[in-house]
Amino acid sequence: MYPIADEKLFIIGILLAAVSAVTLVIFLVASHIRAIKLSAVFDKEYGEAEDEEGGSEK
Amino acid sequence: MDQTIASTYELIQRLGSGGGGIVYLANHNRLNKKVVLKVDKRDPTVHTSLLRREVDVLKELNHPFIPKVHDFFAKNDMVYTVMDYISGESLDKPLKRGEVFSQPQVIKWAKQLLNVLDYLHSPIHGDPPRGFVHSDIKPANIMRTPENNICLIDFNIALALGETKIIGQSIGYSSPEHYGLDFSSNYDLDPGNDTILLGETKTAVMPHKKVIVPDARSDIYSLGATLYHLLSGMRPAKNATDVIPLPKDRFSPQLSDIIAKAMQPDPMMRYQSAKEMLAALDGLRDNDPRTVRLKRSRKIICSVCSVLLAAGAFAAFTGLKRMQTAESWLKYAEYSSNALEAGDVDGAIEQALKAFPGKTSIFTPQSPAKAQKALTDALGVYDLSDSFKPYKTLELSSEALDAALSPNGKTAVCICLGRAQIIDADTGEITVELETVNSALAGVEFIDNDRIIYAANDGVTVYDIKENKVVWKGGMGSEVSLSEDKKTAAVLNNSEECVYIYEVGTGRQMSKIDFTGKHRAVPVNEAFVDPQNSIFSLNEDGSRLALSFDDGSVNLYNLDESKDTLEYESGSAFYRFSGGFFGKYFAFAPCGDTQNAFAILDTKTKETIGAMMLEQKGRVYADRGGIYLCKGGSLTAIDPLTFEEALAVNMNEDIKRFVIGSERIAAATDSSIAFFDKALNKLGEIKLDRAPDIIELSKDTAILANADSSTVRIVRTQENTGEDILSYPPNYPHSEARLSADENTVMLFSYDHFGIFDVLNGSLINETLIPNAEGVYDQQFVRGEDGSFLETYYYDGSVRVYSAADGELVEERSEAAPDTALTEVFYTDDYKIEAPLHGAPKVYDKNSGKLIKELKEDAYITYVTQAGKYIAVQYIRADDGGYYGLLLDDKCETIAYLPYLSDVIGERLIFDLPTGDLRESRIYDINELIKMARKN
Repeated sequence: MYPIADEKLFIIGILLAAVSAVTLVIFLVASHIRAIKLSAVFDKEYGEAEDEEGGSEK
Repeated sequence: MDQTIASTYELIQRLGSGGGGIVYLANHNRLNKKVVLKVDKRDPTVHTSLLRREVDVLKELNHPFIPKVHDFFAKNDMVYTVMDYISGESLDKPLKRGEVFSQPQVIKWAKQLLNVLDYLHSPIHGDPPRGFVHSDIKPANIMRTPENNICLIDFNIALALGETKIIGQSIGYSSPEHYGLDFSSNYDLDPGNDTILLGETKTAVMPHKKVIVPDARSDIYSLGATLYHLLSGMRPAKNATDVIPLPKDRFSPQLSDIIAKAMQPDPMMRYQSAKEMLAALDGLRDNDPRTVRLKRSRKIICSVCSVLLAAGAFAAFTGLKRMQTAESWLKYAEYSSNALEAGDVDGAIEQALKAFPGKTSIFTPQSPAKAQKALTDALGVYDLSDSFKPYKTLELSSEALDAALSPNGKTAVCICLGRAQIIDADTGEITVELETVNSALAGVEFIDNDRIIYAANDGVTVYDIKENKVVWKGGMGSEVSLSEDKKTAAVLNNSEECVYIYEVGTGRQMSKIDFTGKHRAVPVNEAFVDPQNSIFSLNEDGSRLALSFDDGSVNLYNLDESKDTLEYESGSAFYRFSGGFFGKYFAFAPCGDTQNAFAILDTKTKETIGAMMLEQKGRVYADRGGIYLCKGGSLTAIDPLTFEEALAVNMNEDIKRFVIGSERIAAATDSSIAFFDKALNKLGEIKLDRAPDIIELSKDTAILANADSSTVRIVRTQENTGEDILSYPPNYPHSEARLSADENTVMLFSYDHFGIFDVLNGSLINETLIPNAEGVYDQQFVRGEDGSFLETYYYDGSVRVYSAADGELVEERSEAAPDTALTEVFYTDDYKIEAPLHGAPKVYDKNSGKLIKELKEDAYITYVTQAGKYIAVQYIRADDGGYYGLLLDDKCETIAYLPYLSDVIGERLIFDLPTGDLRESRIYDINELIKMARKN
């Protein structure tokens, strides 16, 4: 005997997937914004993140 | 000093001095380029060639942050080194002015310096290749160019990697190794006393002492100290152990840690290479705790969301797959029901089984109740009657025109256009095909179980099925009629307008009947000819032949004396005839559009015994068994002497076809076909979607076909799977049957009486009339520990209790008058069922009171009982008062139809069959049913 009806399983699955997807998207956007802000802080603390010239020549 | 050195370099200004000498800015006269001229203060007694070798090595260095050495010469006891002029100022100057530098700035320079050191330390310079240690990194030796880059100057060119000669130390910037201090943890040297400093002042080496050699890590230390000063504005302490780490509230904790590590007293605890320290600086962002936290949270959330997304998608997919599968199974259940209705039992089982796959997976749903019901119906496990039941179906080569069934029901012959197909009724397979005359009127009759007579394409033929050979052949003909004694055959030849009479046993043509000038009623396109629309019939001994014509006449030919013909003119208004011989009587029913009649003739006296007009179309059948007249939904037996009608069969709808066999009667309406024995006991009924055009009947087998279909259905009586409890007279009147708790007696009762039968010998023990039957409200059969009883409740509240053992009245009592709300309430383990007199019964959850579902409304619930894990519900049909039951699962879904259900005791189902048999069956588990079906 199945503990949950097939229709309920389908709907729960869809809801779970949708909520997870939306949460993931929202989180990724927020995380990206946070990363941008952090990068600006790092630019202030550590300088611009760019390749340095130099290094030894052969 | 001369202003022009070596005629090439014109001194411009003194730039500074240090441990290595004095530094001048000069102009290269030829190149007109500013250069730096460094005058070495070393001991001129040192071999010049040695100094030159070092410069030649440095001349190989080529790095954007290191000034190039262009020349080296000695003059006037001075050693000159010519290098690129680096504009800008050394970093010690702004420090002396009190400037400090920003963290980003310092990091940028640190990376440039580490780039230089990595280059410098790499063992790629000179021949043989080796690396170098600067050995004197400090702000004073770092130039800040106008582009805000750095340039490392003032190399201690004497200190190649591995070289032990140290020129000097810069306080605060020099590593402990420069002071001969060894803080490495793997040596228990007392750093204060046991260090050996190899330099100009020491010549001896104590063999047991470690030699301290500055290496790349010393430069790392000096760089760290330089960065420390640049950031904090304070020169670090001379002693490495006294250095106070940079405060982490003012500077980045990571950078503070990097510098602290670079300045570890123990070289083993520092960065082991410039590359390593450079990697640490490059990783400032990535290793920053804030970045780590961000990445970690991103990882965790992404992982969790991904897992949940995947789980949700999988759950949705699983649910969807299950729903789709369950829906397809419901379709199979429907196909199964359709196949069963069409009489294809094998097909019904096959379709029903598809809803029960052998292998299951997570995508396999629970089999729906309808699928189980379809399987149960197809197997017929709960149909315990001895009635005719669907057996097989088969397909002919084209639409059926006529059929015949052997007396033993084992063989059938079906006529299609141009061929006769002989069928094994057991297997449903066509075994032989014979060619017939190409006429829709081609007929066939069974002479006995093995021989047939049929209208072959080359003449009427007697064929032995068992021997597979022709017995004899006669002349051409189409319709065939056999006498009941099977000795005489009449073959009609429409084209010749005559009938040939044959002796069946020999094939001898005995006579010929001409009916020239008269015409048989045949349809224009010779499609299916309804045999009940014309008469072509021999009597029992083959002495008389009846023939109807399209002019409304019926001729009775005396085959013994050919001129003795009785012609009966019914009138041109009649063109459809049915009839036959019963002994010396000929009964027939002529019908027309507006008039219908029935008449019986005495063929010996040639008198009309009786005749009457019928209000509706009638059909007559007559044989040695009697005369039967069918009108509407009733079939009556007619006494030829008295013309009295005795009801034989009564159907709810008009009887469209009927067959009177030697032992059975079949009557078909548009919705069902019912079977009766000759005592007129109903043996069963099969639902149909329309009345068959062709019915052939033996004792145990019937063939059904329609004129517009090539499908032939075989129905048969089948062995039931139940156990017999009791056989009683089938016409004993009763509404219900109950088995006593001790299973010794069966009580058959209705509201006005009951009878008690002994189970062992089937005898009637007691029969009692219930007094005041009109006042009976309800009856309950109760099984208890002290016996079984029939409780009869009256409207006035009185109750009479009878023993089911012997029928004695054991109790009379008065109660409150019953509530005539006409709603009965039943209880099972989990449900409460309310069954109103009108309306659908409703099922409620017993605990919560929540409505679960409504049950079907087309019948009355008489009782509901728990049967193991199932629920058995008994219904009484509103139309005919017949009983049936439904088996429900724990969700109140129907999983089986229980025809003639009478009683339920535990998980035993008891059926009261119309044949007077009380039988029981157990409840079959779905797995048993599947096994049964697969074996089938």
